[in-house]
Amino acid sequence: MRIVEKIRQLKESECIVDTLRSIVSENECVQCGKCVFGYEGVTQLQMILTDLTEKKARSTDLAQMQELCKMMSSQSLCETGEEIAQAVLEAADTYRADFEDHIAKKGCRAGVCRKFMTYHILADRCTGCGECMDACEEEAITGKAKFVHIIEQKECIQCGACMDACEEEAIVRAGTVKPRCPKRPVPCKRRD
Amino acid sequence: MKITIDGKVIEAKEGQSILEAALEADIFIPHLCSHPDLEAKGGCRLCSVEIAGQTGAVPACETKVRDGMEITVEGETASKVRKMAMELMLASHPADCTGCPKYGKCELQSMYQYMGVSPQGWRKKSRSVPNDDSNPLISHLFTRCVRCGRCIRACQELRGVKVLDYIKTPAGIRAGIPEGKSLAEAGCRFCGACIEVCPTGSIMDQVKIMKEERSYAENIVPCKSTCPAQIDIPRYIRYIKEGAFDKATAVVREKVPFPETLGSVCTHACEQQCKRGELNAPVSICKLKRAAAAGDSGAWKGHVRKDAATGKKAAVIGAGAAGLTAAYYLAKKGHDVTVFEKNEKAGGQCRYGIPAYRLPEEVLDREIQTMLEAGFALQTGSAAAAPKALLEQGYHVVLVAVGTHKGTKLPLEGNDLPGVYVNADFLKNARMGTPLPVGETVIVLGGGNVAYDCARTAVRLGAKKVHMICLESEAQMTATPDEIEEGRQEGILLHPSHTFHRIVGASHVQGVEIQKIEKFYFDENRKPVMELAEGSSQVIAADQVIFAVGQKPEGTDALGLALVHGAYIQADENLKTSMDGVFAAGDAVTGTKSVIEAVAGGRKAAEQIDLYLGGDGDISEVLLEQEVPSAYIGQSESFASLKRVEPAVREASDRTSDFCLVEQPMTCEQAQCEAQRCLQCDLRLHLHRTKLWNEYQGGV
Repeated sequence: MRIVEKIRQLKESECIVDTLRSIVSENECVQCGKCVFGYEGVTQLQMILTDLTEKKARSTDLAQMQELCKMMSSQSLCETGEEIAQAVLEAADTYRADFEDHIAKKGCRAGVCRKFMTYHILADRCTGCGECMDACEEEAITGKAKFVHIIEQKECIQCGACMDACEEEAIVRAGTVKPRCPKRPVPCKRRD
Repeated sequence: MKITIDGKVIEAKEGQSILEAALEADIFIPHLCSHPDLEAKGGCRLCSVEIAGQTGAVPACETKVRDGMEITVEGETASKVRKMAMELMLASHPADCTGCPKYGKCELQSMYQYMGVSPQGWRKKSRSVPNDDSNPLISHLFTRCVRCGRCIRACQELRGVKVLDYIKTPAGIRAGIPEGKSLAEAGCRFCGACIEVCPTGSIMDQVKIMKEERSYAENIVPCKSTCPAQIDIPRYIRYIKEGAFDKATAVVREKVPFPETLGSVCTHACEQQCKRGELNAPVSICKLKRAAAAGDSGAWKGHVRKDAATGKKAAVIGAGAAGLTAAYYLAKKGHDVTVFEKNEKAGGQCRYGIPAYRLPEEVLDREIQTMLEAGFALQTGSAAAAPKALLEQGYHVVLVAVGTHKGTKLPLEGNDLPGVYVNADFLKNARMGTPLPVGETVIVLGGGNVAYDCARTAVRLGAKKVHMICLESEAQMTATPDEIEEGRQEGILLHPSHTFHRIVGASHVQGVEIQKIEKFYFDENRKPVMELAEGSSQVIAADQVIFAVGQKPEGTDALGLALVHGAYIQADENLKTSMDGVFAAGDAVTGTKSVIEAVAGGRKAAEQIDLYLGGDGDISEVLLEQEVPSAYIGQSESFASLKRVEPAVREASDRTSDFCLVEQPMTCEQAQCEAQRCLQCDLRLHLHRTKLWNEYQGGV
């Protein structure tokens, strides 16, 4: 599928910024290196888009990407560089709001970019087993045996390790809508 | 055709690119990935320009000129492209220019300073690669690679060696050697073109081979720059490789008049510096010279220089390497030259010092005969009058090149006993067919090449046992490793690191008392200190003792010239002595050196004397048209491990019974094979040097 098609047929569950980031990372220009605009241009796109998905964007990023892509589409040595640049330009036009949300660090509409997500432990599912606490390297989870565990959002780095560790599926990732959870450990309702 | 660049009309040639036309007209346009010797690729976009009637910017390196073309270098679009291209490159390039070995000579650095651009605003990317010094001669510092591809194009297309390419690494794409091979494994020919074309500090000559006291060209071709006579070594070796032995000899003869003699006895300091030595063993430069000279047909004679007669008379005292060389070139300059030689035959140390098994009589005779064709008179068997008398006789100038023919003895107890010889007498008598008597056992005192000449001559004169005793350790001995090895094969018993206390004997030599040296060093006052091993003193019995501890000039006190260090003739940097019109050269000035040093001294004397006689001092000769060597060298399997070719050497048991040649010249096949090993370091100097912006008129 051509890059533009991929972008035009973006699903609701896909984030344009993250999709573009992975398209750019797989682009052939990354494997070539024969022209500055192709190779260094794609390198810059990769770094900028990665920062966008990781909540590290700068306010000037969108304009800079557009400027760069205009140059890439006329100055790359082959069509590969032109194609990727035009895809980025079209995406920036079509999904401008999504880019702006990422840049303003408001959120990821599709709920794909982890850094924009929060993790929560559902009180009715938690058995207080402590597996998630062991998995958390940031020590962002508090709790004790048979008590519902709590994720301290200030400490959490959104790595998702707790979610993988929980066998009870008690941990969920949330975008803009957050579940209601206790503020401090309470006795578990589940006893098995 | 005419084109206009920034309003300036310049001449351009059909088929040229805009960049080529501009640079040729001394107008600077920034550029990085293009190189005058390589095909343009247009990858860096620094040379972007605008053309009237066309929208957008185009790379000047890839756009051919058309008559009447109007070009703007700093148009808005082109400048924007150029600026962003440079910013992008800098964003992934290390910022520590001052820590880079290319600092001040880097094209990237020069270019961004010219453009006043920095990578600010862009995200920085580090593509760090460890520096690699594991290859011979070439350092790889690929952290600084800008992927311009110049080294790759040079290696692939220009040289045809096809070693370097774009490679994928975890840190990104860069120039390098595919499949993780070393340069040697990949088939590198170490020509250095990659180093020469690299605009940044990514591919560099290894620091250890770039000596500060030498110029760039001298460092690049160290064999040639090390040769006292500056023989164009890579050039003649290339001809040998092609089987053009005549041309090879012509190249050698442009600088020295005794190619075969030198090919037989030269100390070949060039080989110590040969870069091939860093791969496995140096090219056999000296023996190749001999092989070429042995196959010489004399075709070069058709090109020899012979200037009109000047009417000036020059006298040369001493027909050794220095005197003959000076006479040869002075005669070519049109001067009337007479050489006076005290001995029966010309040749000096080559005739009376070097044993015949290294340099046969007929080789020397032939080469001296050829020299005489330059048209100078040689009077042998007659001692010359003193310089002052010669000047009074009507000679306009006198050159003293009497050499060092007097062997020296150390102040040792028993040094005047019968049976004690000195090197010069011993070798000369052997060479003249009237050898000094030699008994069963002979001791040679000394550790240089002359000591070996004495020891090996003694073996050939019938001595059953020959000892060599020297103060130096084997590693510090001045004799060449070849000499030491051949001497060992001939049964010479070497006692390195030994001092000699006295020569034992009542009415004739009976032996030498020696003792092992444990430590030898220079103290804080730079005085030599010797610590001896206790109880190691012993007497080695011998019938004769030969001092081979140096030679000095003989009879110089009668010349009426100022002397230094005893018997040596005082001469200034232009070889002028204390007497006007009298010059001196060779061993009598420099102390005992080598034939090649004497030849170099003779050439210098000829230049200075020619100047003195009113000439221009230029003795250069073109015996062969300069040809531009092919830049394409192609692939050569296992090039780095090609073994040094050794010519046939007679077995020790066979060769010690006579004075015939020990080593044969290389056969033509051997020579061609050995010549293949040359790295052709000089090809680099044929590449165009890229100029920095401040070297263009239009750049400042």
